Amino acid sequence: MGVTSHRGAGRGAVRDELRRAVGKIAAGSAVPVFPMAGVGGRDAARRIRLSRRLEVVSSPRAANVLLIAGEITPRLLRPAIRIHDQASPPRATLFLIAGGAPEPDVPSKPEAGSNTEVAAVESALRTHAIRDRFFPFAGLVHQESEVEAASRALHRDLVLAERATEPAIQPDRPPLPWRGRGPYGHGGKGMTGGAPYGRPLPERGNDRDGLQLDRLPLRIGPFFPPLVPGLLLDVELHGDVVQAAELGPNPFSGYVGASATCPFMRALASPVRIADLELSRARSHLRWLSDALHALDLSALSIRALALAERLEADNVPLISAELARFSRRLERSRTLTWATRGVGHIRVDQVGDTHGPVARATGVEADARCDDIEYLALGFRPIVHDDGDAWARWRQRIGEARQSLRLVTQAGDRRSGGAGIVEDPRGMIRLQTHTLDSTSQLLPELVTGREWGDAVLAAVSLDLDLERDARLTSVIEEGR
Amino acid sequence: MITAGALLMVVGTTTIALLVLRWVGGAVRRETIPEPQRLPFLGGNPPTTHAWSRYHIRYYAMALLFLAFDMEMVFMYPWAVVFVREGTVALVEMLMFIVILLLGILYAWREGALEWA
Repeated sequence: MGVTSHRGAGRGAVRDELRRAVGKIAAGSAVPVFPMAGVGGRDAARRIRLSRRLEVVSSPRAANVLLIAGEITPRLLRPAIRIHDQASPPRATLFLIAGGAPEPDVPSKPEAGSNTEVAAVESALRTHAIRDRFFPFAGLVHQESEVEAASRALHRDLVLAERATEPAIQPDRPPLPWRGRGPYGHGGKGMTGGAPYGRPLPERGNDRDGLQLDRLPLRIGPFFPPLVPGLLLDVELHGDVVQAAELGPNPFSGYVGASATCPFMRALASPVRIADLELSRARSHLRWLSDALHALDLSALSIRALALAERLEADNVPLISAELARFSRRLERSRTLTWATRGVGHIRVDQVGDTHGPVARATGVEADARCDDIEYLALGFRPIVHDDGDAWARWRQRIGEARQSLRLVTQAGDRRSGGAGIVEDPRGMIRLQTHTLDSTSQLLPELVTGREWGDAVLAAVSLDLDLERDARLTSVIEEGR
Repeated sequence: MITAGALLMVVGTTTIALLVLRWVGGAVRRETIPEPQRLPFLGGNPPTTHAWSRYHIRYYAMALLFLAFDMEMVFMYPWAVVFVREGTVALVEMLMFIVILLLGILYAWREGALEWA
């Protein structure tokens, strides 16, 4: 800092001493972390919620450490750079390059085809190249277990001024030059014409009362916390009301290949133990539950749901099952939850179309690939169906399915299912031959149009989108054809 | 004379206070906020338009609701004065009046006047 240079040395020393004393207290506090999930980084970015030493913040402005987990694809690079520059100093970046911990579904190394391994190495190399070129000061860890210690070390060094804050990557220039232009020097024509302060004014349109008012166009995402990582949503807002919405391109497309660790993907080709499939399904639903509770800012409940998901193993199913029963009773009695989600994001039966999975079943459509599976039928499987079709129905649907999955795990024994090119994964039916892609995410624009922004976010959350899965299915199906 | 002196003192004190504040501001101020940090957070994309956005704050809905409650109060003050003398008749009259106003409020509620946006 230039200010200290012309001051007395004695005062400077006192100030440094004071700063160190305060810094020591600050260094021990929880680290505000803003996670950004790239390819394969979603689980790791979510699991930092479980750490007491790290605090997940929902804006880079509140963060000291920006965690970049997984691969940053070209479409994610510029947003990641912008978020880095938006974070207020002191700031530091931490890269987690190894794709996060392997899925706990498969204890031993799976029969990974050499293609998958090569793809993983290539992905890591690309992210290393991005880090070297754009984030030269960023920290780097290879294991998810090291994230907590590395974040704390970065935070400590930042607040004790032992580490310089990272400089902005983009140049310090306004996007459009405006200073000194126009009659008032603000870059516009007259009071409100032209491009004041470098940006044009929004277009006008009819609001719900037929008044001509500004429609604020915003591109939300891909790192907007309540929405799933990678989701790009172009919305036009009239005040708080979404007047138009459109989905942006999937930033993961072309960068996600077949996964050998996902049991559902393996079940497409060869039979897999039903117990493994159902454990994985229960975990997925519980992780969604954690995300959804997080989106409602119910952090403690969110952590509780995530802890259930991460603790769930084949040998503690009865225990987790009992805990989940208590937890779900509590959630279903909650007035806040019902008040926030009932009637939100309502899907009519004729809108369901090609959508499968819990979203369709919560709308009353009894479509489930497991219904046609003799092994599941032998277990007495019947799909859970709700008729309401709103966000609350989808909440109850997934909680109910998670509990049903745990029951199936205990009954399944060594039964196997799959190998016929059709499987029911936690988000819907995958048919290798005739799969229609991204059908659930296509519902989103219709659901949010005309809703207030808060309801729009809850509707988006209730769909349980996974853009990485969409990209993966696209690549797997194209490979197959 | 005294007024001029007082005025001079006010102006002088204000000027000195402003200069001191300016000096303090300059001494405390860090470097200015760089351009890329000034953007609002939208999840990684910059805004395409200016934030000067005219939206409808819907005062008229609030005004109509206010009128319903206001009329109630306007009638209640004189009513309270004569209530003891008039007795049950006054009570019934007031109940009828409130029911009529309540219909208006329920109508406004149905039309979404209590919605936030």
